[in-house]
Amino acid sequence: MSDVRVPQTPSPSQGEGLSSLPAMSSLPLAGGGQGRGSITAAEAWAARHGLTLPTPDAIVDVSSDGRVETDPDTRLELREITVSFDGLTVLDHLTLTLARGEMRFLIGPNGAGKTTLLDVITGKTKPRSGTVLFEGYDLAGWQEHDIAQRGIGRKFQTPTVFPSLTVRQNMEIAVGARAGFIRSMRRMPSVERDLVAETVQLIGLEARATQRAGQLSHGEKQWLEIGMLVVQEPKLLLLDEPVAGLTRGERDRTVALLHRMQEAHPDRTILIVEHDMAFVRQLAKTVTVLHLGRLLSEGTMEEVQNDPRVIEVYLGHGKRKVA
Amino acid sequence: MLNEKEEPQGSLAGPAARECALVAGTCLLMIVVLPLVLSEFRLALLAKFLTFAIVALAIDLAWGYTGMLSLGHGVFFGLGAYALAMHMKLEAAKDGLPDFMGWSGLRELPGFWVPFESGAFSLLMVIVLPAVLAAGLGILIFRGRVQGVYFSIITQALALIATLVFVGQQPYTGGTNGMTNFSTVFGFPLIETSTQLGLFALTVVVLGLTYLALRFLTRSRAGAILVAIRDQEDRLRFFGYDPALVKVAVFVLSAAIAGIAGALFVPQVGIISPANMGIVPSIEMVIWVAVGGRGTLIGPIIGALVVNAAKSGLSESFPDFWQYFLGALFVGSVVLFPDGIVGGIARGVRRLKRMREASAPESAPARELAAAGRPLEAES
Repeated sequence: MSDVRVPQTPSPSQGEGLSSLPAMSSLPLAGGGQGRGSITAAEAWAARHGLTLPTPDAIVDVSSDGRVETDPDTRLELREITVSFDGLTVLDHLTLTLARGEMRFLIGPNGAGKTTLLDVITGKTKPRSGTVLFEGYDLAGWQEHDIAQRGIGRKFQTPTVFPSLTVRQNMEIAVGARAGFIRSMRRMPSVERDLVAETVQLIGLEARATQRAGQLSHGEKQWLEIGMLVVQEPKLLLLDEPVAGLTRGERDRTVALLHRMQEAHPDRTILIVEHDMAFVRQLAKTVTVLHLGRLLSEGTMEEVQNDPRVIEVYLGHGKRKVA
Repeated sequence: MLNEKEEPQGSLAGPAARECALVAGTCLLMIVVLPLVLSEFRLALLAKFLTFAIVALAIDLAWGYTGMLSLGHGVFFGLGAYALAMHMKLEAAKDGLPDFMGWSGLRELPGFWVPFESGAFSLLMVIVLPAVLAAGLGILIFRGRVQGVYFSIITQALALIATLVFVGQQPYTGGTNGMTNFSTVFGFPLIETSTQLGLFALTVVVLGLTYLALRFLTRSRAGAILVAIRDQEDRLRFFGYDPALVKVAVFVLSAAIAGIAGALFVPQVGIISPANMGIVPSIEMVIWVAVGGRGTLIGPIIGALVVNAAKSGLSESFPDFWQYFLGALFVGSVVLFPDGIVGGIARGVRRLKRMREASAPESAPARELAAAGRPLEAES
């Protein structure tokens, strides 16, 4: 199926290697930094475009701190990620690039590997092969909390908050993660308190701040979990089905929340896995479609919806008029 | 910041100071009044129960707050007790060998006993031995992400191994009999009432300080993190915390507190033996917490006192049946009050409050509902 793959980078020069070659001079290439000399221009160019050269491992080991020089506008790069459980391939040589400040939607039928993709990024699942680069750092061998500390926040498919703690305590735990456990015994800095108060307001739960999170409705839990991530000011935010099980009104509030969040932090990259097509349409600029662990299509919502392969596997069968 | 004064921390200073005063007052009252009203025998019994209450607090920190059900806290209690007992044996032996060593045919003091001639070193070991054991075990267990019932089983195995080692190494540990026949503790004769009163007062003070320290810890944001580990450890990891480190720290702190309790136990009770640190006493310690109410700090203290008072009262009145009564108490409290005595009372109070609020014109639930209905300004 890899022959149906469309170009991965939504740049205007996609597929036209020569036209983008001049841009190479602006790349922080090998030798340009602190003596990180082991990637060639060709490899960097390929990496930038999400393409993979025959030996992907050669691209990866670079300087002593493990950083690989990539395009500074690239936030996250997945290269040739393969995951399989008990012989079943869940992700199949998947390559994906997310730019700084981008909001990307990830859709695909059940079993396409969407949640597994998030598991790989957050360190929950180790890929069998392939590389995850976050701001140029190879995440292989990092523990979940290291990855979170680096600025990757994740909302889980079922909203997961700490039920016996109050809404405010939940937020306080989230905001204190960077300082760590020992410093959490001390009085909370006023900067953190202000941030918590601000975010509780943003997610619309001020009236519930002193209530136990376990008493919240499903939608409120979703917002609380998003709020807990927002307060950590992640560079990359992964949202797994943020509107699943919400009413239409609640969904609209989530859309408003995400809009406001993007305005406040235009630099933050957001990757959203969602089934709800109405929600996707409300927000989406770029959509990536996964199918059976592979990248099926990528583009604007309109392009994707008109892609016959997508219609076939995902939207298909009598729902041709989804737009 | 203008709104600083209305933040919870700002106003907490008041209640915190009041709580300190309350605890200090209670301790003082106990130290002054109880020796006057209780017989020497009862007072000694109460002193023993209070050392148990300290262990119960230690277990509650690990189990009630952090979700680590340790079935091996008797070992930490025992290590603290043995560390001080070794010093007291050397005190009692003057310049000779402790009595049990002579019976086992030892001629010379074993090397590892020598530093325990120093009182300061022994006191240090009261804390260091349990803490180091807990740290080593904790790092192995929690780094390997062993959780839940497997942790409990490993700690139970620890209790079994420790008793086997202490029984088996009779020349060095006193074997099954443990260590007894002490004469003085840091030069104070144990037979003197004043020494026992001093130890009782010390126990009360240590219990009060432990309570306050844990109160401070569990009230702070760190306490919320412990509860988060108990409820959703895996989720916490994705917020950037390493639960393994926190759990090791809590386990070490808990073990050290149990060790201190053991050191207070041994001069007042006059004996420490493997029977005080094995599987059965370790499980009993957990039961005190369960009966009193885990996840609260007053609960374990009440549980330790009530269960042990019942145990000694029933064994005096019904020497043949008391264990059945005790069993019934455990089963009854677990079935009827799953949150223990304190949890049961708290629930009753909450129910009463709700009933009263339900009859009030503007009830809290109604206010909450109104608040929930307020839109999130969806202006898109």
